[in-house]
Amino acid sequence: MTDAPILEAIALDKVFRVRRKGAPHDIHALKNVETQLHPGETLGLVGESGSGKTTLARILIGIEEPTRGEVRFEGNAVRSAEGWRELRRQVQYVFQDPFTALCPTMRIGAALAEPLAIHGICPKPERKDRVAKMLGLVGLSADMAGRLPYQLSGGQRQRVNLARALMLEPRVLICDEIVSGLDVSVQAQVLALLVDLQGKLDLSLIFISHDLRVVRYLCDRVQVMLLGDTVEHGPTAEVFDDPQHEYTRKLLDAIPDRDHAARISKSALQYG
Amino acid sequence: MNETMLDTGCGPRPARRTGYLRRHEIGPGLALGGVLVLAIVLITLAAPFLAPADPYAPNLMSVRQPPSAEYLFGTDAVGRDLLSRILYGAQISLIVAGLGMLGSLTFGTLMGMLRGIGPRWVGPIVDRMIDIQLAFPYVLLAIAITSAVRPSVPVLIVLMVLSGWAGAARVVRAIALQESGKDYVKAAQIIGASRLRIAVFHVFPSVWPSLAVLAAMQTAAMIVFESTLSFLGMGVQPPTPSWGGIMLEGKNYITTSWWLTLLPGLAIMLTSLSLVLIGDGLDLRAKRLRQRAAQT
Repeated sequence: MTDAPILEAIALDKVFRVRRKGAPHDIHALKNVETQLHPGETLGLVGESGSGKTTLARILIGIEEPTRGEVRFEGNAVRSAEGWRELRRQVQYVFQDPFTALCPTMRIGAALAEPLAIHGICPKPERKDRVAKMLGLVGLSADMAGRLPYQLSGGQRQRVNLARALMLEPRVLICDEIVSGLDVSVQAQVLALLVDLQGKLDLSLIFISHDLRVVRYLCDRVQVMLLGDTVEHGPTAEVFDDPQHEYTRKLLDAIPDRDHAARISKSALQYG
Repeated sequence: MNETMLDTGCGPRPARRTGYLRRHEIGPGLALGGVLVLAIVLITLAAPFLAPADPYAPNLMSVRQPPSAEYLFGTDAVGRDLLSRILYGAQISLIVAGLGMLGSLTFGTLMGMLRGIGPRWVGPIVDRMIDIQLAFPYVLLAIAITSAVRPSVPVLIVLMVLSGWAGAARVVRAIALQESGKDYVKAAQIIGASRLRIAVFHVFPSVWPSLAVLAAMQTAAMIVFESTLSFLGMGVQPPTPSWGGIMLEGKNYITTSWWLTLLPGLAIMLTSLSLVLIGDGLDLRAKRLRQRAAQT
């Protein structure tokens, strides 16, 4: 990657102060974390629960403030509210839980038209068409616009979340474990959709997951996190084929079905 | 409830959910309260047609007559027809209570929303205001204010707002705080929604059902509050009839002319009771509807 990164995290520290029964103590969620996203690439953030993936993503979109460090967008540090507003025109975020990320009282069409209304992007009469077009793009029928979130399945809701994030035609999309709340068969559909959209819309992606198979399938580069630290990063193939860090190796060993399929077919042959 | 739990059949439930009331989860309390309140409102509106006499016209020839065919509710100390006074008094009492409720809910909702999703620094200020208001005995506050300002209907409404807003604010604050922690509020932030927009389009719709419950409850409380103040001589001023005022005028004769206090008292009780029935019914209905939504 020779082009300049579009989104960067510089030396991020995040400390959560927790007060639970007695003395407050600190949780160090991120320790001096750096990350870079280049135009057009897909960056995978992997690590176990509590490793700081989500915190990092939330700082990148500005709904969490770092204790130290800064976020840079196209090389400029984002500091003011105005700066974050600018960033959010270009960078969007999809939440992990499709059931809580949609306003329960707002119809799908209104939810999708909202970003357009807020940013005054297209005149009111055209919004309906834009919404219908976007629904088509994420594989939903246009009559979904009249429904309320509780009338949709998890997979459909996650498609709506994707659609809402894409309404502003962002250049960067941050996906925080967007398939982990879905059934396996639906996961595959949503992931395929994501790959398809990335190609069509020229998106740069930050893809957070603890499912390494998905990361391998999807990502150009991968950054492995453990307890708020980056333990390893590099091109996906390199990291997966030749892990340098103990923890990465353990993660890779924990993938179910890895080499397993081969073994099973062998034993099946023996019995046969 | 148990029956529904046992009903494990797939597909739409059998005929039990048919019928308008069932489908909309309108329980017996809500239905009864609704009918009563509707009747009371209609009667109040029709007071000029229903009242058998002028509520202001004294008749010193027939003073403190007990209820009879001629005077259905009897007459008061200066011979005015009690039924007419109660009917006209209903207009005053309900209008004042309704306006008081509207003011109190509006102010309470604004403060609650401000606390729930406003800037962080207003939080403690609103919280302390609510605490102070809830700790302050409102009748005492009313006495203090009406001893400084001449009591009148606008003053009465201000007093109602002062006494009621904190209760509403507390409920709205709880809901707004709960909702504002959810992902969809953050999602709205990310697509660039302003705080005002989030408050109006995303959080307020979740507050709305509770406001309906609050409205019924607060109207009941306001009717009692109006009566209390009028009874203490600090509310609606004579000769204008109001339920509390009629009781005040009748209290000196309570040992001999029971109808002067009992009948307006019953009017107050019946009205506030049916409003409370509506409030409880709406609350229950909201819970049932949530349960039903969770099942699907």
